[in-house]
Amino acid sequence: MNNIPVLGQLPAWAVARSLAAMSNEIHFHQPKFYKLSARLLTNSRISLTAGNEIVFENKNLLHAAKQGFAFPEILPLCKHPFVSFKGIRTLMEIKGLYNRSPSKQEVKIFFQGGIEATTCYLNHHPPAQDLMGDEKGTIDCYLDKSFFLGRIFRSNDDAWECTSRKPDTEPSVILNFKNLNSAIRGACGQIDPLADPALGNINVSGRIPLLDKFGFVARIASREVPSPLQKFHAK
Amino acid sequence: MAPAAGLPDCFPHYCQEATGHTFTDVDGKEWLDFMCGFGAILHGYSNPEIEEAARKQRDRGAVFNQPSPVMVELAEKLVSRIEFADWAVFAKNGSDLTTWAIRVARQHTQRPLIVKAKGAYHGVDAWCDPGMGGRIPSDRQDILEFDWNDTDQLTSLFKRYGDQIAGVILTPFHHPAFAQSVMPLPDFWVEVRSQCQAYGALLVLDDVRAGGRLHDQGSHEFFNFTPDLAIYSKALGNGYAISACVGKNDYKSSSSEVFLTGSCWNDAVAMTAASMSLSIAERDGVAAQVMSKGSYFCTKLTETAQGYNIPLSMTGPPSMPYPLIEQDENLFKIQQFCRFCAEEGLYFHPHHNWFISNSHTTESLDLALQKASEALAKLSHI
Repeated sequence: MNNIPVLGQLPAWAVARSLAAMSNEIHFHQPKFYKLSARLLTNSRISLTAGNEIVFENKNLLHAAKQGFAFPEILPLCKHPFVSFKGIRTLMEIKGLYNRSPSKQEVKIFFQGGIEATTCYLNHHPPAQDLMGDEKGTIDCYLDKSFFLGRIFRSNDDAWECTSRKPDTEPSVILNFKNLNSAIRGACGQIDPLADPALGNINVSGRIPLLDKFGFVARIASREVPSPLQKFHAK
Repeated sequence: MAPAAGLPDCFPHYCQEATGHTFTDVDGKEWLDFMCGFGAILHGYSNPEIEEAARKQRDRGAVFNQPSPVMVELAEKLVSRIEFADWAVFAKNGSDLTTWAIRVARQHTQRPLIVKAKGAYHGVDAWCDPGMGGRIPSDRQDILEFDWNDTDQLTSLFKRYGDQIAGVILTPFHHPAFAQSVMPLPDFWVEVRSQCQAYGALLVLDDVRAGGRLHDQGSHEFFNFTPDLAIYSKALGNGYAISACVGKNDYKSSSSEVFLTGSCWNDAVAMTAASMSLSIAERDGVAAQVMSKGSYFCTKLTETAQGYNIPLSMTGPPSMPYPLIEQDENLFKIQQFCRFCAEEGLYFHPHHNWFISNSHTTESLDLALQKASEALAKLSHI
């Protein structure tokens, strides 16, 4: 099965991709943690590992994202207990992030999860695809002007992607978050495009219309994709 | 984002008061202004003559059951000054009447389609707004677009949809946000007029932003063409909420069929302000004045920038120029320049037309140039 979700699957797919992106960032700094990867399966299911060891029904994955816990399918779990254990350990590590005051590096993990969910919408949500049209620019995001949070860009095959590593090329637009709190709100699509720039919580420079479009899609994603971060932020 | 939003926090976000060409923000900082209420101010903030006339009318009342005589006076003034105009209607904002005007075109032709230029701003309604939210696909299914100045594209649209096109709505020159202004090519308006004529479509001029800044009798005079309908707002009331649509007699009967009203649509204070604004514009030749002041300012500013090896150009008419720095397609440099200017108390906008008002004096323009020079010096060191 290819990794192109139908519209109804998009929120669950965004959760899976988001978890994979977060695990990727965790793994980069702590290689002991297993890297998750999202794969669409038949019958409204998604695997979080390359060998289909941790498999969730879409609705369970959404439940996990909302409540912090859900059961994966038992059979594949039991067939490959070692990989399953490693994957679940990574999931537990991600869950643990939501229960403490995050460091800059941990905010970057949240942020990667947030922008990955938005890129799913950029790539697969028809109104978002229409909105982005043939936009080609790149968006770089920073915390406190110097701490790189991530880049969103369009790859050569026209898909929107994001990365946590800072490329050498100049971006089209730069979004800077003033502090950890505003970056967390950015990660869960809760930046107010009118108030936050005026209050200095974010600073935008460069091709602002590109960021306007991205922000609009991020807010669509944040409405449709559950995240424990929204609860975390509400605290 | 609306043009006033999205600016860094070194720009003011709330204004306390304004006089002439300066304003004071809520933190008490005084600014030398080049945005003029995003174009709504032509004669300077709180112009004494306009304020006095408005005050006298306010003492008598603003909104009544019926229009006041000042509405007739204002309509007669517009019709006598705008050569092609035989009638006028009034509302409060540009959007009210750009949308109403395309409905007049549809009523007159009994056709659905409207043609506009890509990226052109005609207001906040769903058929044309530059935002993203609150729209459904059908909002724009009857809107066709072509690239400004590309009359071949326009011709193709007319060839394909000519019997369905009700009208073409255009600004007198192309003034999109986040992009340089583009003046019409020499034959542009001739070709647009000719295509509309050939296919029986109305030519609607959206002179909301430029009206009064290029020519006292409307921007079509500056570019030497005749529209069928034209809409004015911004400078018309010099800060009082009013808009006007004027048209040829041929469209009067159709216009009567298209509903138009509003809660305070017959506001006599705004109409008095507009009437006085028009009188001042005519008496003092304000359009020529702001063009001349703008030419002086733009020429000096670009020369100063050249002195720092910064390739700054001012696009569009000098009375409402749009700044552009070469090799700055993502606008980082112009934004930094405007940020430096903001530190000097100079209010330049990095991605919208600036506006020269007739209250700008040579002294104030020179002071602005001096502050801009300091900002350019800082920019040259980055």
